[in-house]
Amino acid sequence: MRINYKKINREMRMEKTSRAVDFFRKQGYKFELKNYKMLDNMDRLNLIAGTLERIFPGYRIDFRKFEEKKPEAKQIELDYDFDLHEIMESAEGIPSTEKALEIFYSNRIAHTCRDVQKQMLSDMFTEKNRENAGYKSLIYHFDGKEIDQIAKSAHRYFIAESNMNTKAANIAQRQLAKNGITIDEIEILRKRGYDALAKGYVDCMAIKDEAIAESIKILKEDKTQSFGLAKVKNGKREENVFVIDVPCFGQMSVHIYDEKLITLLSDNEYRYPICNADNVLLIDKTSEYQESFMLQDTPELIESLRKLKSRREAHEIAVKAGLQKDELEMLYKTNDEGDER
Amino acid sequence: MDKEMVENLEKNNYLKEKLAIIDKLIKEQDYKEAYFKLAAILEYINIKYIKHKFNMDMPNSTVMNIVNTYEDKDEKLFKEMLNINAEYNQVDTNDVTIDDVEYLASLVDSIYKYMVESTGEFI
Repeated sequence: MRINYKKINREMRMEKTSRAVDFFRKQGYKFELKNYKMLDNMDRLNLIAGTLERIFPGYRIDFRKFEEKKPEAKQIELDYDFDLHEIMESAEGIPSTEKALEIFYSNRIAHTCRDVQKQMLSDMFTEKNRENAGYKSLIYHFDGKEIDQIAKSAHRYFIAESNMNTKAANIAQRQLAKNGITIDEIEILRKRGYDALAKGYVDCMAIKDEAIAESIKILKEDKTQSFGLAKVKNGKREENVFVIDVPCFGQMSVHIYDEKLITLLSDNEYRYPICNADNVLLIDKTSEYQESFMLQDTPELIESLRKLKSRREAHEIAVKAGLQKDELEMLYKTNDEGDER
Repeated sequence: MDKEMVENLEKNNYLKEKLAIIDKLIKEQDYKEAYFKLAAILEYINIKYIKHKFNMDMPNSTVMNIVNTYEDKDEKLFKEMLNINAEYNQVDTNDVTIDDVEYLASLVDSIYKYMVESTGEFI
């Protein structure tokens, strides 16, 4: 019997979509700011972990795929029964680490909502194209950028409608109509739960930005950890990224957009390399290679790291080893021979 | 930009002047700058409104601080500003489109309309 991979993939996608929709329809209220704020730090982190386990269980596979690109000794292994609650527990009692995890994973939930919305749109366009196969002018053909724009407009429509903002809802509907999306199709999206995901996106982005502001306060008072605003070049694009070096976990980085938040960080430029922006997990596990460095005491470790060619690698290990701001500064200091990192 | 989209903001002379600059930017297709200028107007009207209505200063006017200020005071503005926060997160600042600008303009206009209806002119 031949295996129909297309069918399997479609079913897996649909399962992911329905899991996320089901969660946000029934339990999305837990992320509403007023309810969320009533939880203590650990309850918040456990809610986030439980949600990701539910709506994005494929994170283990994504993490392994990411690690498999590295040489074997440098790969971080995940236990077979690894789950995110372990990570959250290991941050307990360290306010800046708790905040870093809250930022990173609430951002991940928001992006999962958006990914599922885009999948929902693609599935609907595929179905419509099948129905209208004989009518060339009715066929939808959108590239990734166009799908992004439609996903934004559909999000806008449902949020404006739920806020009873008729003017904004009309503008969003007009934007959708420009791309040929009809009211009937908007209703299909509603039935499939696009609105619940839009709400999830709004709430999780609020949680992320609130946690960023709180962490800036903690880190500015604490003064022992390196963090700040990095301007990251991505081709011709320049992006604002908020970075925290989380001792023993690794480097946490997320995009930030609120101009005022960016201003708050104007005295905290982040000058070190950005290590693992593409990774799906922020964890305290290490590779064999990283372990081999960590057996050394701090001065010895700093010397070994200075000898590494890759600044990124040296920085990653230094953070995993738990080095703090002043120790990281020593790593980057010009040494006696004038060897500047 | 369609006048209807910002009809309420246009009623205030000071904001009307600012909108003229935004209009010029849109004609020049500088959507990014137009977007940031609209965001600045939104921040300004929030600060003015909060001072006028609640007699509170906002030295740190991040979107989330504004959200938190409205949390127990005004459900409508609380929700609208949460939406604004998500909007800033979903817009690609390296590739702002006319759709992004128009949607933000409609939000700012309706927020301003609500504020004026709630407290009278405050700018």
